[in-house]
Amino acid sequence: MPYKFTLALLCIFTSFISGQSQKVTLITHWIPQAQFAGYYMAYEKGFFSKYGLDVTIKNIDVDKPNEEELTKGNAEFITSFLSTAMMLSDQYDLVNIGQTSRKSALVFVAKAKSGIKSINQLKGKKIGIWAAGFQEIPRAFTARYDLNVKFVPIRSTINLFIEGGVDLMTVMWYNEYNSIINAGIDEEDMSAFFFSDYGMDVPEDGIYTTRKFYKENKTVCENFLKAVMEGWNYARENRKEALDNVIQRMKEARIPANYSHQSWMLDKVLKVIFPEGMSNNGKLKKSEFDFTYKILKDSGYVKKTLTYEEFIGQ
Amino acid sequence: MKLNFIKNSSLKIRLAGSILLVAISILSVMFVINFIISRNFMFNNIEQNARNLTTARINELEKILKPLEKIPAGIAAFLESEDISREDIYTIIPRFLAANDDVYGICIAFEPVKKGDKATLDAPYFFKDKGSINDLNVKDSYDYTIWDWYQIPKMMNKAMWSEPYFDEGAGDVLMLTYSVPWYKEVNGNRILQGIVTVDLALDKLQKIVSSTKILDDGYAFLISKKGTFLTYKNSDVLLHQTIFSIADEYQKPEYREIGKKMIAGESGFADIDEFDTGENFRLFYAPVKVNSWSMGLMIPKDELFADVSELNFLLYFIGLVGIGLLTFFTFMITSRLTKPLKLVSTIASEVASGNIKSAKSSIIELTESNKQIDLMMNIDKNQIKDETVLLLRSFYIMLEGLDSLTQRVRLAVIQIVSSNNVINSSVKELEEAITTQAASTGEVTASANEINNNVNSLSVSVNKFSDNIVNADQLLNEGIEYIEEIRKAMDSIVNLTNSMVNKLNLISRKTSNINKVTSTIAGIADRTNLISLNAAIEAEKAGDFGTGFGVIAREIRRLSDNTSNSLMEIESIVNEVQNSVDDGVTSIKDFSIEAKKSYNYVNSVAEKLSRIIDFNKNLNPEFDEVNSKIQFQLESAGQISDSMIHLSSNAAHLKDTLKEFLSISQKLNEAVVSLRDSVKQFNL
Repeated sequence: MPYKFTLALLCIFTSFISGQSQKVTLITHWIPQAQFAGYYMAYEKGFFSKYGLDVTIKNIDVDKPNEEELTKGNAEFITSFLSTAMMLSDQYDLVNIGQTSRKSALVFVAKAKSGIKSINQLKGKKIGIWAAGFQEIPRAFTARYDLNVKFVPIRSTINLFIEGGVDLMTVMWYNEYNSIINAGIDEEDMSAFFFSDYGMDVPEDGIYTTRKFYKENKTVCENFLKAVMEGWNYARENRKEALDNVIQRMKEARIPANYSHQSWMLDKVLKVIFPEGMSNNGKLKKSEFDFTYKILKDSGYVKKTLTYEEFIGQ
Repeated sequence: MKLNFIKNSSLKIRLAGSILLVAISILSVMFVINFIISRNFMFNNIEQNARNLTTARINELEKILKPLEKIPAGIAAFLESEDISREDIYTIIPRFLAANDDVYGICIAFEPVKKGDKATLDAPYFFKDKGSINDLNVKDSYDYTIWDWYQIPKMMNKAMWSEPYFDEGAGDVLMLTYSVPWYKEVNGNRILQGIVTVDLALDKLQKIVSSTKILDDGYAFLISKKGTFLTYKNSDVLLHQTIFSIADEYQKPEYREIGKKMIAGESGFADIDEFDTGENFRLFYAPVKVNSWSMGLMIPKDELFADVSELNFLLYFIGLVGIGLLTFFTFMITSRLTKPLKLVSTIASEVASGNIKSAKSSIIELTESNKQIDLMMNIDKNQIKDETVLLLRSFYIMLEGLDSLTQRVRLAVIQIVSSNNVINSSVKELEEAITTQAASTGEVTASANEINNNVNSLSVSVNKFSDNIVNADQLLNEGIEYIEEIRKAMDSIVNLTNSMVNKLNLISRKTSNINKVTSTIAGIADRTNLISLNAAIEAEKAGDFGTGFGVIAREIRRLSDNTSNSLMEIESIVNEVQNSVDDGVTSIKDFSIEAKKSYNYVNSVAEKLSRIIDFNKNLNPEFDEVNSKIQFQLESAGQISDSMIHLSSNAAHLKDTLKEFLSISQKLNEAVVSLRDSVKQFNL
């Protein structure tokens, strides 16, 4: 493969001019899937190497929050929800070095046959939610609309919802939403409440590191973001290649994988990262921070004062 | 029925085509009916097989699953009824495990007991590992309360089978857990105490399903209640795909529809294309009721119909051979049928070009022998069944008729030709006669003129003699000389008159000859007329072939009519000539008598002259008488001359008429020549 060979040469060359290449580890906040295709492409296509980074990508154990991994020194970078990171920023001294997602992909889904058609009908209902985290925005949502729901923490599957053990399920539009479709429930047979339609359009995935690492390795952090954004742009232009890589990683991780689902996921994730009529330089905007901060502050998930500048390491 | 001349193909091909079309249609209908019936038969047969096979396999699965359900159910009942110590659990459960080969592990997961903020987890787990039974506590690995195997039965308040999952600890096999919740009565409420589970490796179940074969390439698969593939011939699909993700990835909406029915616990048949190969299959699906799975049996359609196809192929082959033979024989028969038609057509062409003889010989050739011809001709028409023979017979009869007609026409032509020759020679003879007559008439006229002159000179002489009688004495001698001259002149008149009478008699004879000739011609014309009438009738019988004859016959009849008219004209002219000649002869006879009288009288005058000399003075009155008699002679001669002139003009008219007659005869000749040419065409 002359291409790979050239790439290898390039890597060696870049490490020579920048001295030793920086070894860093990234831990994503969920199992390998198309949600992280941009990171995989940045790795596979040598964008990290281009910026003098020797990146190892790891997946989180879904039973633990990956913020812990930063403080344990297992990773230099993690991905996380903006809201989760804000909540945990004080605890783990997190700095947002990049914001890839620009929109909310959160959805409450009910079976249409349950008769739930409007948001008011959610009152007193059992809603499945990820036990591992990402609960603050759904909880803020139900609090804002005073729905008094009962959240049922679920490890990772939609099976309880399929069985009818919960009335609704908190899903990501790019993930579980399609898992439900692929379990034989047609989209028409679903009642979906997109958070973005209810004033809760909170940006999600971003890249975090510790304040300490950020202060010592600003360029590395900047380069890391650049490489990731290049990876996402590459994935957007080369979906098939990106998908093949995702599927391969999933199979290696012994995770059920199919093109149908990953293709759906990549498509929706790209819609969230590159929303129509919006450019994305990967930097968190102050407006995004303020919007999310207000929701979290109002719902009591963030108690201490946090400023935009603090949050992005300035 | 209108003949379709646009379809310009041979009768052979049309006939053979029609027969083949009908034969192929019948064969096709038989073929299709056979195909449908045999197909349905096979289809029903195989479908029944598929149903039985699937049911049997499902029973096998349930035979494994059902007893397994009893283990945790028994433990749960045990836990519910007794206060069981931890030691009891660690003693009893491994025994259960050891006693059940199909069970991989047993877990007793306690509902966490809340102590303040913290909940105490406890889930002793016993599992087989390399022949021995080990134990661990799940709480050390994870919070089992949010795991499906614990959470779902708890939330649903019922014993349930889990979705299959990979368990690395169990040696990378697909695992399945049956979870049974157990409760205790606390203050009249059923309070969940925990979940008892049994784990089993899926490989045994997978083997049962994947070893299911139908026909050569038929296979079975198993899907979970979420539609996840648990067995499939292609292991890439296992656990990774649901029947619905397949439907989406491979754009096969029928997979989604079938999948929905399968996970709904329905059973039935469906036509389905294998998503990765596109091959056609007949799918039978039925639920595994124990755990809401669904089993599908894929029957390859090409195999399903292989026997039908084989049978069909055989039928097809027989059909093709049959059609081939049919084609061959049809062509042979139609060739045989149409060969005489072709020959008849050739014969007709021969007849049209006048080759009656060769046409007849062709028919004879066709019937192989004269005997057959005789046979064919003598048998009653109604007894002949073969249309071709009937056609040949009719043709032969027509040819015979045509033959005799042309024979008769030829004879008539010969007759006409000979008649025409007679007419021609008669006309020539007549012409000669007229020429002779003209010459004779000329001579008579000349004689008459001479007579006239002689009479004139006689008259002059008589006058002179009368004048000179006074000087008789002197002139007596001269008178005797004159009388001698008169006598001589009288002699010559008598001679001339005789010769004139002879000539006129000759004319009269010739004229009656003309009459004879014209009556001969008239006879011929009548006969010609009769023949042409006959010819016309025969021509009418001969139809189109006789049209030529008909025209010629009409022409001949017209000419013979013209001939009759001309002949009648000639007859009347000849009659007139005869009358003129008769008049002439009468006049000449009168003249001859008078001339003889005059001659006698002159002789007696001469006799008496000598006496006259003697009786000179008495002589004058007698001379007056002579003079008057001569005067009468002169008138007679004038009459003769007039008659002759009339005769001459009649003869000229006759000549003109004869010319006309000749031209008619010539035309007749031409018609005869044309008729002869027509007849010549018939090679008799």
